[in-house]
Amino acid sequence: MTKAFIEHIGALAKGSPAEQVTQAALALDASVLKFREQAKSNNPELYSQESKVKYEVFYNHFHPFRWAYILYMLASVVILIVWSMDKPGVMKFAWVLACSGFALHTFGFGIRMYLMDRAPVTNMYETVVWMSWGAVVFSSVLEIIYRYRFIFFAGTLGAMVSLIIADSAPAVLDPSLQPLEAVLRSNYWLTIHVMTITISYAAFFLAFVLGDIGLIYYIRGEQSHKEKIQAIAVSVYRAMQIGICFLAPGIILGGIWADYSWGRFWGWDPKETWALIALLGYLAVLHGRLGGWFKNFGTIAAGVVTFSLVIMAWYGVNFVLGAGLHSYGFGAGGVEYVAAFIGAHFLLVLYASLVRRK
Amino acid sequence: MSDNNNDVVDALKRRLRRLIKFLASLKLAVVVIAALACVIAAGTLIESKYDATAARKMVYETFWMYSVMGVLATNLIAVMVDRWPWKRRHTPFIFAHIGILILMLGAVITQKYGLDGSVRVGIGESNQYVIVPETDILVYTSFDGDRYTKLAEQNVDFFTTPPTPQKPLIVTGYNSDIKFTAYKPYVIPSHKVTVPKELSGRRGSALRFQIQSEKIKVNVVEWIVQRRPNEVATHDFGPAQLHLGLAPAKGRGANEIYFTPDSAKDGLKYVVFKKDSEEPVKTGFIKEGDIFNPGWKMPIEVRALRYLPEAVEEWDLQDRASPTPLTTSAVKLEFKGQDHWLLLNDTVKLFTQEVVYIVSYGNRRLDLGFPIRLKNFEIGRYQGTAKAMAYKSMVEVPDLAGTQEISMNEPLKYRGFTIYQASFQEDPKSQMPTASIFSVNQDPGRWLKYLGCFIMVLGIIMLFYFRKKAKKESPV
Ligand code: HEM
Repeated sequence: MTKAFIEHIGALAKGSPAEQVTQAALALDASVLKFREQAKSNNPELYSQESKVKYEVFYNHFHPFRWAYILYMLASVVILIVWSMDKPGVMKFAWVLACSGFALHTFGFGIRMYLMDRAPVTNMYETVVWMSWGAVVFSSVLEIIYRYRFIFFAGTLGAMVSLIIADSAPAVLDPSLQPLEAVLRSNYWLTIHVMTITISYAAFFLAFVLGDIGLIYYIRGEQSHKEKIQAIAVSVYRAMQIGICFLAPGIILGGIWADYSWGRFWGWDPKETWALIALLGYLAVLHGRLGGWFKNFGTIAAGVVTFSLVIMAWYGVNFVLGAGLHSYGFGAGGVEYVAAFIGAHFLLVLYASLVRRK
Repeated sequence: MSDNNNDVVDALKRRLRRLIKFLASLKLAVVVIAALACVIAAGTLIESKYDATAARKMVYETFWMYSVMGVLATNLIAVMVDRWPWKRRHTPFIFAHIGILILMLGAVITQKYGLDGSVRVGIGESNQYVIVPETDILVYTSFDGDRYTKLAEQNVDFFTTPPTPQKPLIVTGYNSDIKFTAYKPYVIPSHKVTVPKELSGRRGSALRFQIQSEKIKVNVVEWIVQRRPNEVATHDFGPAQLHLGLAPAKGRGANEIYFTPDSAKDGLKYVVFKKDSEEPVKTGFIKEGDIFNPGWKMPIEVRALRYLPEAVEEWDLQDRASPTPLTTSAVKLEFKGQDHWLLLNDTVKLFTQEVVYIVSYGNRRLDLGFPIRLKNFEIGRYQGTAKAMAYKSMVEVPDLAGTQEISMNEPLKYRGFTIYQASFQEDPKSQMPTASIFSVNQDPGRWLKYLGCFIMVLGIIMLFYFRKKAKKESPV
């Protein structure tokens, strides 16, 4: 087969007559076929998955996540119109758009799951897709309860942005379908653990986007937007509670998994530890608000600032610290962008607090 | 007078109440939660710069960490006492906090009474000792160089409290003390063989040889060192073995050379054996610089580069700022005015005119009480890659019929221990596995931890249920 391949390349390179190239190509095709037959008979179960290949081709062609973020974008634009121009009738339209986006998002996730025979949450790319899915779910639930509109806006906007980032940074967020390290194989607890933790990040992400919106209101003038700010602070707080409600069990599931695989419930693994640090950060905010330390501004600012702990737990441990048992998801890249992103938000908080003082 | 007394009591009571208020305050909670987050964040930074052991010794198992945890526990208990009598709406709060306390108790019990070690078993071999992270210094003595008695055994943690020349660790010997004066956590050792300052006649000899062949492109230069006189020390380089020590009358039917030191003549007698033959094929005598051909099929020449009738092995240490897979740790000891470096999990011999000491420094080994025998080890890899997909060990333990399988997520539970598949060792050239590494574990705090987690999660989930109700009752 290698010989046929080289002949084919050689014929192409020499600029040989078309006929000769075609012949070499045919020979190559034949040897590929033969090789495939051989491989098939060596590994029948591996190649019985040919129908899966079709789905994979379809998946790569159709690119459901791209359609999903386009629909989310449209939905958030519509909500923005509803919200700023006060046209409540159009809100239904936003729901339709967002729901179709969500359906495609779910479909893409499902097809990936089918292709890989596992829940696709084992690398940065996959967790970003899963997290943005969660952000849409949580924002819809909170929206249905509170009907504040900006919650849904934050959800669709957040999902759109993170899907676009996932799509446009393939070097960091590798979208290809990869085999798993031994420790991660077919492990029920592990999958649930990772999914629970990343879904909690979705809630914190929602709190973060909501916090950003709140900060913009502070900058535009606290006095004239008192009610909105109050509502945003409550939503940020609720989103954080949802996050805690998933993160704490998620970390514990990690402990159960570690106990099950290594006999160690807690080993100060950096990835686990940073998830715990993020949890402690949000618990501090929760107790601070209960104790009256964090009022509306404090809660909104905390929604933005504390998310940097999530970024550290999620991205930073792999790309900055680079140590520990979770070394399977490691790579490098984008550190400066992420640092700039966090820095910009810290500055935004600082600026808002200065505007407020005046 | 009694008024005065009452005043004092009242003042005390007030102060106590204020103390409880402070201990139960949410502000203290925020501070202590944030402090805990900062401390463990520092731990992860240290782990990424050094390693997990350093993080444990510098952060997670230190006074600071325990203090923060202590304040957290006090704070949690105080706030629950303060909220007494509890109301219905307190349910999530009570559950979450009692859960945390139980979890912390479980962790303390694990820390105190648990076992977490590792066992390495070669394929076809058995082992019944677990290695745990604690380290000990052991000193043995002997008057005749054959029978040794234990002189001292001491648990040491040089990483946390390294000895210094000002504050050495001293083990008292019969006539001179052994002083530990320095510690290096990360060093790369290399061999050094030298002549001792004082000859005692109880050390072994050393030979530095060269094996050379133009034809098969071989050039090996190595030391062979006897740890004591008359011991047979061996250098094995695959197709042939070189020994330093007394030659047997009959060979094993392999390509072997025995060098027997003869200090009176300042050289070595050699005896060559050959593959498929028991009788010596060649004998002779060499001194430093001499060369001879053993007469094997492979065309090689052997040269004696250096011969030391009495030799000591020492370590040359290269310092490193952080650990790598090649680094180990070493402690310096001083004996009769001479310094020696002792590596982790190694021994050093010290001599006086009357006694010999053996000093060992290493991880503690605990006897499991039963051997683990590794019958077989299997490894599966992803198609066309060297990436391990799964691996498992087939082991035998007493009282259980047949072989037991231990794989990644299927540990063996046996006599109160849980034996997990941790990793394996392989031959770097052939990539064939050579040994399996198990982690052996006993965790009496496990069920408390699970119980605590369960209660805490229940509390957190109830948050939503009770919040909504509370909201309807009072709009706060
Ligand atoms: C680090 C572990 C901790 C966890 C996981 C935790 C968790 C929780 C949860 C889930 C709630 C219910 C929140 C709500 O009612 O909205 C809560 C409430 C509370 N926590 Fe904690 N907490 C922790 C530490 C502490 C500490 C150290 C204190 C010490 C003062 C504390 C004091 C309180 C108080 C006073 C409440 C409110 C109770 C009330 O409704 O009056 N917590 N905590």
